[in-house]
Amino acid sequence: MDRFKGIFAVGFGGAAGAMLRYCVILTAGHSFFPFGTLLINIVGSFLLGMINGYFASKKKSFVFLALGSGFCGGFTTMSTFSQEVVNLLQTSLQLAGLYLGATLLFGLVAGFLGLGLFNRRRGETL
Amino acid sequence: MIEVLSVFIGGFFGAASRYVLQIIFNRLLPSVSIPISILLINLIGSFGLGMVLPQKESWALSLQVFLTIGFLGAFTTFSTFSMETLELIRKHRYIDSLIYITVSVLGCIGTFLCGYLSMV
Repeated sequence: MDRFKGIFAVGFGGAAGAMLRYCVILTAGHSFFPFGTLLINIVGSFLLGMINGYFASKKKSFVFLALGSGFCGGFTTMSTFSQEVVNLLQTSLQLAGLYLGATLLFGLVAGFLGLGLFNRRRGETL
Repeated sequence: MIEVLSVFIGGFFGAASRYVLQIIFNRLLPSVSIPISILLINLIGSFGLGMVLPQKESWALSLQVFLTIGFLGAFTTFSTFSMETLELIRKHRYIDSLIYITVSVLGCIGTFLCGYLSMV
C-alpha cells in the first residue's frame, strides 16, 4: 500500500512539475536558443539539490518523493534537451555546443549549490 | 487550457512510470559503476520523443503536448542526472562521472535521432 502512495506522490509532483515546465516554455516562446529548457534544468537541479540536502538527515517521507522524484524530476527533462541539441545542430554547431555545455555546467553547479545550502550545517563537503 | 490539463495528466503518468521503472531496474539490473537505471530511463524517453515528433503534426495539440511535454518530458529527468553525477564526484569517482555524463548526453541525443529516423 505504501508503494502505491509513493507512486501517487511522484505522479502528482511530476504532474505539477510538467505543468510548470509547459508554462515556462510558453512564456519563453520560440527563439534562436532554448532559454526556457536551459533555465528549467538549472533551477530544477538547484531545487533537487536543496531537497536532497534537506531530507538527507531526515526521515524520507511521501513529501520527499512528491517534491524530489516527482516535482523536480517532472519539471526537468532530458528528452526535450536532446531534441533541442539536435535542432541547434542543424543550424549552428557552436550554439549546440554552447547549449549542451551551459546545461551541463550550470545544471551541475546549481545542484552542488542547492546541496550545499543544507549540507554545510552537517559539516559535510562535496 | 485543455493543453495545460493534458500536460498535467501526461506528467502524472510520465513521472509515475519513471518511479516504477526505477524500482524495477534497481532490482533487476546488475550493479555497475554508473547509475544505470536513470540512464536507461533517459535513453528510452529520448528515443520515444524522437519517434513521436515526425508524426505529431497530424494529431490534436492536446495529444501532442500530452505525449511530448507531459509524458516523455516528465518521464526523463535532468535533475536526478545532476544529483547522481555529483554523488559520483563526491565519492571521488571522477572517471565514472565523466563516463556517466558522456554516455547520458551523447546517448540521449543518439537515441533521439534513432527514434526520429525510424519514423520518418
